[in-house]
Amino acid sequence: MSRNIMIVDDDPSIQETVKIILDANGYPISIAKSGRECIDMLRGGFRGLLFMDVMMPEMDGWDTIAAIEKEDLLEGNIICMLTAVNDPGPKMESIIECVIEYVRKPFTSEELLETVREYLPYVEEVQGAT
Amino acid sequence: MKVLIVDDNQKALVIAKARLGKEELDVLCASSGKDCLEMVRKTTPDLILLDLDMPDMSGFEVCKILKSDNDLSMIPIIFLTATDDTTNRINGLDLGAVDYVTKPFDPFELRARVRAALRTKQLQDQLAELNRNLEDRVEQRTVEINQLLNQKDAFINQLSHDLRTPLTPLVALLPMVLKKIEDTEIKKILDLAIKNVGYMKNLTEKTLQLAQLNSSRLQLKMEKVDLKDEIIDTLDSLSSIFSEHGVKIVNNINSPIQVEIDKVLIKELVHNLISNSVKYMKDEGGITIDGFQNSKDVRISITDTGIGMTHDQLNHIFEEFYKADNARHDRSSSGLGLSICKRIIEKHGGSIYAESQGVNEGTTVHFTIPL
Repeated sequence: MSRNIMIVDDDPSIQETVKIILDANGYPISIAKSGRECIDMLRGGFRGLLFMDVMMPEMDGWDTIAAIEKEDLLEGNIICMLTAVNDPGPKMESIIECVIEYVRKPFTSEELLETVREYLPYVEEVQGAT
Repeated sequence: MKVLIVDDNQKALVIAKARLGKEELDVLCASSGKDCLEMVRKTTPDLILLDLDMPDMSGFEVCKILKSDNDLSMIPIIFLTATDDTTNRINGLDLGAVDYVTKPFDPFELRARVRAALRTKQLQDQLAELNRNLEDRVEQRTVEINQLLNQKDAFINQLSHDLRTPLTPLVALLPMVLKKIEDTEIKKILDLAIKNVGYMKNLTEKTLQLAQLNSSRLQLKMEKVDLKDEIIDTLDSLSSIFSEHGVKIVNNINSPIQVEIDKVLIKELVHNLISNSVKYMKDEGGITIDGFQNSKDVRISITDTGIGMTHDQLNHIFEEFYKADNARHDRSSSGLGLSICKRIIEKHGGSIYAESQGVNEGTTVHFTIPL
């Protein structure tokens, strides 16, 4: 069981912002700079709470989730979307079910921390069940 | 232009043909109803001179067949009648003929009637052609407009992303820095920066929301609800602000109001209007909410005892980025709240308007929702 958190975002400022906030509050965090890197880390055994950006080049957040599901890497993870677009609809309706929460940019440190506090215990529960 | 003469009497055919010869027309002949239909399908004439009294198939029958065929119904028909029989003429015109000529025909009259019918046909053809061109152009423009709308939506999404992303570190991190600072002078400077970041965040959110509401693609999530409950809900969510400012609320809506609305948007509208009232009110004021319903729509009125408005202000408050002079530098206001309210109501097919007796006389905002 782990209390891992991953941020998947192509924007270095967002990666850094999330890292600063979570570091300051004692939460370890891994950074994936693209959907591809996220999938590689999941293949390597990472399980935990994923903060997934929607608009990323090459593979957007929805494509990444579809790939995660296809490779059977979804189990043991909880996904929160980081959205900055007005209409962040996924390409496939079934992908919505994989997402537990949406955090809209710009978020405050409190909003981010609240999401972590709310869903991180649930990650352990999900992992305990598998 | 092509004229088809149909008559079972060979002699009459020849005479008619000869008389029209002067008109520089392409004259075709058919000696029976069956012949006529065949030739019409093959050559599509601009005018048919049709004898009424023919064996096998009468002129009326031929006319009925032609008028029931979409491709041929626009060809004008002039009946040729042997007798001056009013009933036949009326029947012929009722069947769709444009005119009739009584045999034996006067050569001048025949030519004049043919010319008149052909002129009408020509104008009709031109009109049809213009209509087709117009339809083509409308279709083409519609494609162009849809492309532009798609581009606009894509632009707004990209803009939304590009504005919100760089605001994130500012919104999230500056307050963290503020907590760590002891120096009151630096605290003051940072406070100013944070306030303005908050303003920019609000302005960005509101601008993008307005753009989304202005998009023709926006689909409202309509559901049947009791508007009375939604208003009570909204009032509850604002209760701490009411007690903070000592605002007294009188809600006169006592009976259920069943409407079909986008609940989230209408609650936001009510929230905006009531917080506006609180904002522009001296402490210890009051807000009264009334509901009126008739067979067509429901009207909600929100009346406050606040600072009121001048006639000029009333004319502009629903305009985008309008701020009354005394609120021009108000960093808590985006100048878009009421524009958003207006768009929300318009999307529901209703209307919104404000009334005030003048400065310090309070304001009433009314909005309607169709039933």
